[in-house]
Amino acid sequence: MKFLPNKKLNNNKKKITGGVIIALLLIMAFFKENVGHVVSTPIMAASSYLLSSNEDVGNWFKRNAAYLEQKKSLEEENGRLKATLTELESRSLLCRSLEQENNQLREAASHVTNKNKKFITAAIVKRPPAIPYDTLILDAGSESGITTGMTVTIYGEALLGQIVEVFPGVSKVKLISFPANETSVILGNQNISASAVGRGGENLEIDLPKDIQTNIGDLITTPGLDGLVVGSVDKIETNDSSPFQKIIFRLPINIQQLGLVMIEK
Amino acid sequence: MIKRIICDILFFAVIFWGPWWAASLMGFIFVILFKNYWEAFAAAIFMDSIYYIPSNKLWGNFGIFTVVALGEIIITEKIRKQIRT
Repeated sequence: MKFLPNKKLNNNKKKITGGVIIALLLIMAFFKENVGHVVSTPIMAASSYLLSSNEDVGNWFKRNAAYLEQKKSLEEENGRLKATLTELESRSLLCRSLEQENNQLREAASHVTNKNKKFITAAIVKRPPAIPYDTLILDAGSESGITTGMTVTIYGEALLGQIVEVFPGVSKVKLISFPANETSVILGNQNISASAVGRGGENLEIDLPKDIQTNIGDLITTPGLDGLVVGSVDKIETNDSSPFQKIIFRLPINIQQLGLVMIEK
Repeated sequence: MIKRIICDILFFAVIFWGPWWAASLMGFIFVILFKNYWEAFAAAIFMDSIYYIPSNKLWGNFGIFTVVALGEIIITEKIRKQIRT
């Protein structure tokens, strides 16, 4: 007895499956905030313990591969690092005296600065390039008093990003270099007001008219008396056919070397 | 079946403890090796839920992993059917 394939039934199944997929995609597109949070909340709740574990394969290999390095190269590196440390210690002394002088000048000018800022410290659990996007996962969440919109800084001095999603045990940070993310900044000694746009890969750019004089190394900060450092000018791109110049800079610190962040309450 | 289960366990372990490119490469290979490997799509939604931040664009809710995984599964299954016939 031969059973012929039911073409009509198969076609109907395909149409129904295709219709369901398209309907789901449209729901996700038009109700993205609600659906996104409904999908991500149980996943983050279930995986927050696993994410909090700092032991990942990459770090394990890095630590164990160190045993294979030759003694001589380690000694050379040790010497270089000691010299760098001595240089940084002397610069730190200079910074402290400048900071003291700055505070005295501010008091003399009667500007009131908010020294009572409170911070929550959190460790970075996942960071680029382990994550392909310009985001960070922190090991502190709503249980630690973190809410969306809080500013994330490096030691309270440099701007890193903003808390965008909070879960009980973890929270997600959107870096200022996230593609198309805009941050208001002040550029250089001339206090030029501009908008820094994220390019991804920890890079940002500012478009300015060509006639504005900028130099490599100019400091970029957020507006205000207690402005946070955003970066310093790394590269200036000009084009003869365009009236604008493109200022490109990176985040002020290498995220790979950053262990803790401070979240402003 | 057992091979597939072992691969699934390895795949999800790499998602949590390995870099994103290792998980993507594994997913890419497993979609080719196994038939109807929808675990890759589930893993892609999983990864985007954890790491991606939706943007304000119309299709901004879809992370790159979700789009690429869906595309790869559909294309691979179509090619598989064509090769069989």
